[in-house]
Amino acid sequence: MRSRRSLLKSAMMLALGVSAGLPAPAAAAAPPVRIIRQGKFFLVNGWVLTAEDLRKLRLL
Amino acid sequence: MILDAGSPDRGAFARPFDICIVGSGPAGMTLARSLAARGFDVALMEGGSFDVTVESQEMYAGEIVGLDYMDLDVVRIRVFGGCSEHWSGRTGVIPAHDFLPMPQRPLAWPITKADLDPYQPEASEIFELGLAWQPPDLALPQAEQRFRNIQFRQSPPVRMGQKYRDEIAANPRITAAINANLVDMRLGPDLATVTGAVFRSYEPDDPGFTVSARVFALCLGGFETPRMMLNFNSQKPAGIGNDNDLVGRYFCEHPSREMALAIYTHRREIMQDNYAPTPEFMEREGILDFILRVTWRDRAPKSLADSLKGALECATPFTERLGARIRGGPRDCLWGGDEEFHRLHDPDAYPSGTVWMACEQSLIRDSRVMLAEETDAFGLRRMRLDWKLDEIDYRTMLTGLTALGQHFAEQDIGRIRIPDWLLADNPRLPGGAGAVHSGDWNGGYHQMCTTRMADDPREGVVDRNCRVHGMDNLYIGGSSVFGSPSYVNPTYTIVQLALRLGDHLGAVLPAGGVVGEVLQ
Repeated sequence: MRSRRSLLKSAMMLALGVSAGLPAPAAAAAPPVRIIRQGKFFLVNGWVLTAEDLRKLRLL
Repeated sequence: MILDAGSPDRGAFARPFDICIVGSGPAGMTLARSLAARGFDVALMEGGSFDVTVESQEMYAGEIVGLDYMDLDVVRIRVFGGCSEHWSGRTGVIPAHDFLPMPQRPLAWPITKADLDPYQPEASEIFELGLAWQPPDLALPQAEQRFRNIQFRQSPPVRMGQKYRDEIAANPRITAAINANLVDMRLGPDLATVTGAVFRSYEPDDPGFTVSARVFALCLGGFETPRMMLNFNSQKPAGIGNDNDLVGRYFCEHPSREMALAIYTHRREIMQDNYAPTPEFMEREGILDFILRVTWRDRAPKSLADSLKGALECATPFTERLGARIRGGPRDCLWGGDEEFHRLHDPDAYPSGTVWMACEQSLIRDSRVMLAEETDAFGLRRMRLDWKLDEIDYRTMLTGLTALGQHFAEQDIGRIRIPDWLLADNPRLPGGAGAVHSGDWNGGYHQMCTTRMADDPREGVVDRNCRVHGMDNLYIGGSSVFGSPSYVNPTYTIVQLALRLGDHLGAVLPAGGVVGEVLQ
């Protein structure tokens, strides 16, 4: 089983890949994290989050 | 008295009445009581009995061809007392701004909230609400003025058939019948006056009987009233009151379902919050009205063993829990594992909730009740429902949920997740459209606007006094006359409208008057 840190790293790579228009890694175990900016908020896989949330989640 | 239409007692209807009311639900029963109190002779006709019967409920079966909807023969209850016999009791008053036209709501009511306000105390008494008037909005700290923090009132709920049965039976001004199925309405030579309503019991080969009255009122609900009007086409081929092809059109529900998950940062002191948009927010965003009901999740704990098992996978603080959910973490992390485990030891520490949403639907001409080919036991064509939503309906849902998510985040109340289906490019309510009917719960059991109220006969079936355009003595009570649906549970408004109709008929129907003379 992959560790949380490993999953988080994959998710961050995916997030960066999405924003940079790069293809997602084929062997990703976690679903992609899709981040859409909405003014000062972010829609992250359906969750409405703040920039502080993303920093805590190391997604920003 | 209350008699059975299948018994010889029905001879009691062989005399003219002042008014014949068809349907004994909140509208019909309220109107009957109101007019009887003014001294009018009332015939109150109910197709069902005092309890649910298969033969009565089966009259409601029909086809669904549009958006998925609940089964038509279970979404309504055909008994004495009508849908008050199964309603939840939640009541509210339609806010003033929902009566008015807006750019995104070009068709609105021809009356205002002020026209219905005088009936709040009596409606509140009928429903035993304690407070005579709608309580004011609660304070709501927020960064932007997006929401009103509204209050609903709760009826016990009052079952009108049970509450008023003895009163109706003892009322010398009311002659009521159960098992009396409306099968036809006869018009006079001018085709603008109803002269009689024909009823049949469930007895095989019953030839039926006709009730004569000066005025008739159809109070059959948002589905059955248009079905009957469309079926009665022997004298008017398009059906009664349907000169402008509007009967059954503009069908509205309150598109509603459990829309979102919420996880809280702290325990809430209030079990439920109700957020509705401010008129300014609606105008700025170009959306319709809605209600977001955020409910503290109060579940029975799992067994200790199951909780511990889940807890081993999921026991994490808020931020990491949020992260797990975003990444599609273990399914039970939110609702099972850590929540249940910690509830056993510290029930305040891991709060979560659900977001239920109900929306005002846009008025769509082709969202409608039609007639199916199949007929019921009385030879009347069953209904076919083609429910439609428009882009603005989905945009209202998404805008409202997003704003709630932002409010929760700004105030650090918690975080909200918007469902995937609503984030799709072309969202549709889950359950499909016309494919396989799943009976998914996408509405509030509220059928409205199918004989909507409008001053212009080209925009509505009834006028501001609930009289059918083009008919001298035919009125409609119930949610089918709503000019637009708002988001508010409709029963309270139905009774306000019925009380107002009672006032109107009381004024235009002086004792002994002749219909054609007094109603012109």
